[in-house]
Amino acid sequence: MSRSQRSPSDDGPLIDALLDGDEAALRDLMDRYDGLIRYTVFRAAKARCIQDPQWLDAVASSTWEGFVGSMRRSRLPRPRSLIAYLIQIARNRTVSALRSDPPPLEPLDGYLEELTTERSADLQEPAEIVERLQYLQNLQNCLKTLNPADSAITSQLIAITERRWRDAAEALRLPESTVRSRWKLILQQLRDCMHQKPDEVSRRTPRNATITRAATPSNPEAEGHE
Amino acid sequence: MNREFDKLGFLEEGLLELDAASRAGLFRTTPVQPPQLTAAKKRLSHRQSFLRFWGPVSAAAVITIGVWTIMFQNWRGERPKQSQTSAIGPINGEGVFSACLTGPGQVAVASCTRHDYDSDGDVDLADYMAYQQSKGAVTQ
Repeated sequence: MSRSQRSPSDDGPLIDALLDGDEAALRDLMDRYDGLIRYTVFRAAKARCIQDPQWLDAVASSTWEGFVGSMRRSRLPRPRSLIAYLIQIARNRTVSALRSDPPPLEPLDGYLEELTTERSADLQEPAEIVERLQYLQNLQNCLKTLNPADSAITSQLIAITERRWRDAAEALRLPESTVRSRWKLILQQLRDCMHQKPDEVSRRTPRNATITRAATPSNPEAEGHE
Repeated sequence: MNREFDKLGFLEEGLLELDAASRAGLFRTTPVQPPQLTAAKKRLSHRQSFLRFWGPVSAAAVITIGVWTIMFQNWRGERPKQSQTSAIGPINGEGVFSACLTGPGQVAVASCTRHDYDSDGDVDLADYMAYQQSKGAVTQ
């Protein structure tokens, strides 16, 4: 079932099937809501997730277990909004995991510190979280539509967003003015892409496209990635 | 220099968050173990169904027994108070006079001879009158 064909009323039969031991129902529900759960955990503990991606996996898995367990305990009545219910479970599981398993006391580099000070208390409403996640997914698809030369420039995302144009230009072996102008064009191209329907974007996405990772001290090999 | 362009826009913030999300593996699929999630139901279902029925029944039984116990105790506790207002005999340190009341001409048992105030061998209303007078003398 495609994303556009989904409706909340479809969730009830899937949950029933899951509780009856249907693994396919679990996969369908995960296909629908796993991204939402992972994004909720990510937003609640961004620095921890970046430090240890396995931790994000563990908390998300725990959230699914908690969800299935709660559905078994109370088959009736079902939560009115499954999305809000899952977000609530994911938040609670994240807080519990942070309390029981505090992050290691390793110093974060500047990039991570910046991320952890990012707005973490906003997007409290489930609808906002869903909307933001869709925005990021669309943005990811749009990034895949960039040509290789532009993708190489996005690999210098951190330097560029910190306006260290010279550093970015040296890493790319391009004139600084070129990097500036190309970045402006890239942003415009991404904006245009974001205004398109997601289906159109996915049609334009090359099959072998990869997500360009920004170069950071922890990911130096991404510098030459294209 | 275009200062507006130097500001971090909404799109660039989104790109930064997307980069962080990629580092955290946000777009991976959560590794769950479907057999565990789906088989756990069968393991728990018997216990759950047992508790679902007997839990409320047990709780209701305990509450009912508790309420009845309290009501019974209250009922038993009220009985002596009612007898205190009885005309037959007061119940205090003197013992149960009414239990010894045999009537005129009837021989009182040995344990009741102390209520035979007129020493005529029985415990009758004449003795009761003497008993009341003696109590009145004590309270006065």
